[in-house]
Formats: sequence, C-alpha cells, structure tokens
Amino acid sequence: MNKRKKEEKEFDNLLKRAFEEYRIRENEDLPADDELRALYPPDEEDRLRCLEAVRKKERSSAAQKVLKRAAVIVLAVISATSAALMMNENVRASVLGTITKPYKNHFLVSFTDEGFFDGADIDDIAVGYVPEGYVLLDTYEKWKSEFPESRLIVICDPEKNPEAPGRSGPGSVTVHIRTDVNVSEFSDETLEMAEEISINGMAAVWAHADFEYEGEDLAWGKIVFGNKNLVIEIQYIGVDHDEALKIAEGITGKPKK
Amino acid sequence: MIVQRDPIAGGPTDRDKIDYIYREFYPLMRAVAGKTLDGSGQEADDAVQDAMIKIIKNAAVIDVSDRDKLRNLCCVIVRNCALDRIRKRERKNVPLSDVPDEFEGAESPPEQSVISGDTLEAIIKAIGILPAIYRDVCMLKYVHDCKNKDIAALLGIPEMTVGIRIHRGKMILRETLRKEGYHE
Repeated sequence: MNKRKKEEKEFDNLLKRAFEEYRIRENEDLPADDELRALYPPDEEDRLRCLEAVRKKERSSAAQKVLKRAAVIVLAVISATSAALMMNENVRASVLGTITKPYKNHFLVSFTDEGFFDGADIDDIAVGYVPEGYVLLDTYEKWKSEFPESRLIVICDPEKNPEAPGRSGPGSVTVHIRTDVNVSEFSDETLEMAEEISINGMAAVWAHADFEYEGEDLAWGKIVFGNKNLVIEIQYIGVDHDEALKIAEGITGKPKK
Repeated sequence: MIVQRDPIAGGPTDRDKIDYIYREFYPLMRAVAGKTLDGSGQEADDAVQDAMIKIIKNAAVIDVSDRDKLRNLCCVIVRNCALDRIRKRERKNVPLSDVPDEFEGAESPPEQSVISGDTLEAIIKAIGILPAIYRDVCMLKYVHDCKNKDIAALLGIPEMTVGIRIHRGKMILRETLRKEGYHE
C-alpha cells in the first residue's frame, strides 16, 4: 500500500470514530422522545397511508418482476427468430443502435434573461483567477478574424498537459466565451450530474463528476452561465472542482449599469 | 450496520419496519423538519412525507435492530428532504453550500468531553461546523457503513453527487484541522 493510500485509510478510520462519537452526542442533545411525542403526536391516518404505500410498492415490485421475466423471454424469442431469419449482422447493428441512441441526445440550458453581462463586448471579458502552477493561453488574437463571435481561453498546467491549447486533456480548463448562441448543450449522460448553482449572483448550471483514472480520482466538470447576449462555458478535466469554480467566479465583464 | 443489501430471512417485513419507524420516529422527524424549515408547519409536514416515501422505497435495505442508529438515520433523511425544499424555494439565489445549518450553535460538542486525545476531539468539533449536506453523507458512510449507491437512494441524489460530497466534506475537515494545527 503506498503512503497516500495508507494515510487516507488512517484518516478514514479516524473519521469513523469521530462521526460515531458525534452521532452519540447529537442524539443526547435532541429532545426526549416523550417531549416530542407530546408536541407532534403520530397521526393514525398518516400511518395507515404509509402502510398502504408499502403494500402498493410490494404489488408493483411483484408486477415488475413478472414483466421483466416476460421481457427477457420475448427478447430471447425475438433475437432467436431474427437471427434465424436474417442470419447476418443487421440484428446486432439494430440492437447496438438502440443502446447508443440516448447518448446522441442532449439537454439544453437556455439563457433568456438580461443580466450581468448585458452590453459587455467579447473583448471585455477577463479571467481574474488562475490556479497556482497554471498558465493562461488566450487564443483570441489568433482566431479573432476566423471566429469573431467566439473566444477561447485555455488555462493549463504545462507539466500535466504540454500539448495545450491544441489538446484538451487532464490539467486543463477551457473557457469558451460565446456571443453566437443563447443556449448551451449538455450531453444526456451528464443530466444526473448537473446541478443549478449561482456564479456571482448569476444562475448557472454545473455538471461534475469524479472518475477513477489509473488509481487516482480525476475531476471533470462543465460550468455554464451568462445571459442571452453572452454565454460562458467552462470545461475542465483533472483540475480540482473548487479551483474550477474559483476560475468561474473570477471571470469579469462589464456589469449592467 | 444500518443498511444491508440482503436482510436476514425471517426478519421484519417492510410493513413491520415502516410501522415501527412511523410510530417511533414520526415526532422526531417532524421536529427536525420544522427546525430545518424554520417553523413552517405545512412545509415540514411535506418534508416528513418526502422522507417517509424515501424510507418506504428503501425499506428492504434498512436494518431496524439498532434503535439509536435508526433514529439518526431518520434525522439525516428528513433533514435532507427539508434542505431540498429550502433549495427548491431559493434555488436561483442560494448555492447549496450556503444553506444555513439548522443545528448551528446547538451542535458544537462540549469542549471538556475528551474521548481519546485532542485530535479526535478536534475532528468532532470540525464535524459540528461542517455544512449539513456534507456532514449527512459522511454520517451515512462512516456511521451506517452505507455504500454510495445506498446513500444516493436514501437521499434521492445522484451517486456521483454522493462521491463528490464525501470528497468535499473530507477536504473541508482536513482544511479545518490543518488551520487548527492538527493534521499533516
């Protein structure tokens, strides 16, 4: 076991003891059951409703089991019949097509309200925070004539990602400032990871996750905020979530007067 | 262990568990919801109802043999349901980490109570000031031995979010301890 993992395990053991002790103390601090019972007596109708919900759940689970079993049988019959009739790769292709289809869909984050960046020009946007050890590469001058409605800033750790800005990999953050759209696209896969947050008082959507990569946790995320005139999309990989949020909070423009 | 994947055959049925939880812990859950939601009666009732739905959905994996731990589990679930309601109410203006801690002030453990040295005591103190959203997932992980998947089901949040909250909770605890000069 390497040193980092050993330390992590020791810290986990310490936390286990501390949380258990905290729970015991919290329990002691809570009012006594009799006292609470006098304040909030259980309601018999409510209790019966809960028991009815359990019954419904049990019935529904039983029905689902039957349906699942039936679906497996139907699928097996269809597959066998199709394979027998077609005897080619079309069956496999159609099954794979069904599985991959949802990943081709997206959900959109729309910006329709006026707000912080109203009246701001794409030139006005500045990145005020760069994590320690990272460098900021603004590609605007390079691509200005080609993409005047969009600006790309890359913040990267040159040691982790020496190929930036050409390659987006671990240790890099891309800040995409756009005036050509008022929506941002998220892959359906990220829907469950997305939450609504606030960046400097602006409504924002933040999809984030941690993936295990070669034994290390690799953070990934996308933060989107802005208004109908200007949308800022920040994507990062292998960069601490808190650092990415600080970058987002450090972005300044020309506030609406 | 509070949460088990395969309850022992012949143990209490889901119906027995729900009946027991409702009879024993409804008053506590209602009090916690009311305190979290700052006394809003109707909303507190709704939060208890949300919590009971989550408990019913996960009844099969809830072990009712340790009353104290079950009491804590009910608190954690209903507190999260109440926090969800606050979050929905103020979603546009308040980031989740800024949601006020409903036990703030009352939760700091007494300083004179020493379990096994200063470090443990410092961690307990740090847990007391940890935002509730992080403390609750850590409580389910460390006290109830729940897997991330179980925590996600009990609190009604994505599994990824559970992992991130545990990670951040630990990070905040480490940072607090470092500031106090205890850790690393």
